[in-house]
Amino acid sequence: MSYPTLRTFIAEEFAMDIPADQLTDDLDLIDTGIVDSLGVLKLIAFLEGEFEMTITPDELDADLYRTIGQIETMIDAKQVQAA
Amino acid sequence: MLHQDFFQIVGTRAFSDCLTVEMEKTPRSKIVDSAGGTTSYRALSALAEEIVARLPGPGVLGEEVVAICAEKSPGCLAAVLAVLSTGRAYAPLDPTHPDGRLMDILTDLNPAALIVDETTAQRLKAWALEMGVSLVELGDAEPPAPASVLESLIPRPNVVVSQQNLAAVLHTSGSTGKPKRVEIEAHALNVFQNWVVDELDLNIDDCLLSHAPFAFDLSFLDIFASLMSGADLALADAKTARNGARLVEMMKQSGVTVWHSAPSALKLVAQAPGNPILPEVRSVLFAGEPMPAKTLERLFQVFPNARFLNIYGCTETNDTFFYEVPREGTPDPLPLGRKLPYVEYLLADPEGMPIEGKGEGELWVHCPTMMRGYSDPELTAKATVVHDGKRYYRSGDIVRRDRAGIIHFVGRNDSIVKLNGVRVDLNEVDTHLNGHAGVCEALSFVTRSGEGTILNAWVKTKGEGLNSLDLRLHLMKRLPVAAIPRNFTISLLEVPKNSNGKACRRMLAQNCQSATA
Repeated sequence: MSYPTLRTFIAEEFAMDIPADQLTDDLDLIDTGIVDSLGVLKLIAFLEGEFEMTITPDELDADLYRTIGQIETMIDAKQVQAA
Repeated sequence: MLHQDFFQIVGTRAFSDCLTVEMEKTPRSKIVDSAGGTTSYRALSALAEEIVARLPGPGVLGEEVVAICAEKSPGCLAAVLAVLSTGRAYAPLDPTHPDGRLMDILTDLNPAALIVDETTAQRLKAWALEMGVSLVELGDAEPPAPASVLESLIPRPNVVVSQQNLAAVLHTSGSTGKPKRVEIEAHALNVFQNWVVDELDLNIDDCLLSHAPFAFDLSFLDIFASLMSGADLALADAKTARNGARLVEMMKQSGVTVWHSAPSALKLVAQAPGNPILPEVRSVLFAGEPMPAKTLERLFQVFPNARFLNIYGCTETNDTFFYEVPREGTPDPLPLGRKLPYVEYLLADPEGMPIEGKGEGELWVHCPTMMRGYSDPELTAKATVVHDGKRYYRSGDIVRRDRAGIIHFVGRNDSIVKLNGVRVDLNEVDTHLNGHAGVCEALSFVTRSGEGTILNAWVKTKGEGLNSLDLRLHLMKRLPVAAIPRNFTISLLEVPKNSNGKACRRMLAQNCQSATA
């Protein structure tokens, strides 16, 4: 499902001037340089705080946070696990 | 330990033969991949022979290059050995670079063959077909096509390639927007590995962790010093290389004793969860950018028994200086230290006259590990200078020599910066930004903070409607990700100019830093 706070966080933290509708679900945040390695850590801290997710050491991998679509799928899966 | 006279090694074939002889002494030493799998030296050699059989026969005239674009793996390492054994130079290309950039480099390189893996085959097959370049896919279980079987049955002539000295071709950021091609000869690789094996006393009981991609000069140390000394070699692939927890796991499982990387990778280890301690590691080598003092302090705990070496060098000369970092009274920033035994250097004043004793100047280096040159003779002429009958490489680095003869880094005299260990020429970033139809004028610049060095860009647009996403999508097709600015200032205002009317990176950096302070 779609998480508006996630999109807002990414826009405000990393891409102030990009209109929200241009941050599409499949935009590669890593290859475009919007989120770098340090950015991934900020994003993970946000996910842990906002969605009460536990990110395992093995999930500290930039490849898992390439697109908003991918991150949303991950949030979905974690919430099913927690329920 | 090796004591062969490195001056005996002249050709690429001779270097390869020497590698083969050394590897045969320790057939059970092994390569460990990121999944924990192992490949013995013996199996690696067999793998290399299979690849040789699938490469086109050597050309009759002149030197040849074979490009390798594949994820780091034992197969990819075997490909390096295979290419060298045919007397040719290998040109490793970074698979994380955009397709357009890879194809530009390949077209310019005109390789005799291109070695790929499953992933890069998909990306580069069309290019190879169009250019008529033979494509060899690693791990390809298919039997070779009839023509190449025939070719492999024809004995390879030994004489033809014996004059070939070119062993490796690397690409580094160039100011015109086109990467510079750096040509490195076999004896340069051999002299260098000899020093490494000697200085680190590398031997069959060691395991070296190779962190850098093969497309970086750091990998020369990893590959050749390990194979020449019988040490195990643990290959961190791209996925492992950027994950501190995985790196720690890999070090524990493979019994790593020597670490070598850029400081940014060691930062990942320092921040890895669970406060790891790795007492087995006896040497930690880092190169390519300044090491933050805080990270170093933490690393002393992670590696309680290791000596720490800050190494200085560049693609054009390989490593030339090193500093043994003391655990007590550690200076910050770390000096570049003292020269390697075979290096001669001088500090040149702005008129190109050598400075004696303590003082500050541009570092010029003369050494047997120096590149033959860039592929473009004009660039080589600009970067090198003959002084007292010796050819020096002008590093572009301003350094200071203190009273004790220790060298300290002061700054660059050009537009080159290091971002996460990757050398980026700011002029190249500017060139590509200016290539966007909506841009009037652009200037990239770096700022430094606790997070490290950050790349920014000021962009004057032709009108409304341009945003940073447009620029990012434009740049990502042309530049490696390290060269894409983190922050863009998009404005209708001109780029700030200095009193001579020249666009000024320093003014932008100062404005930016004072605005956020």
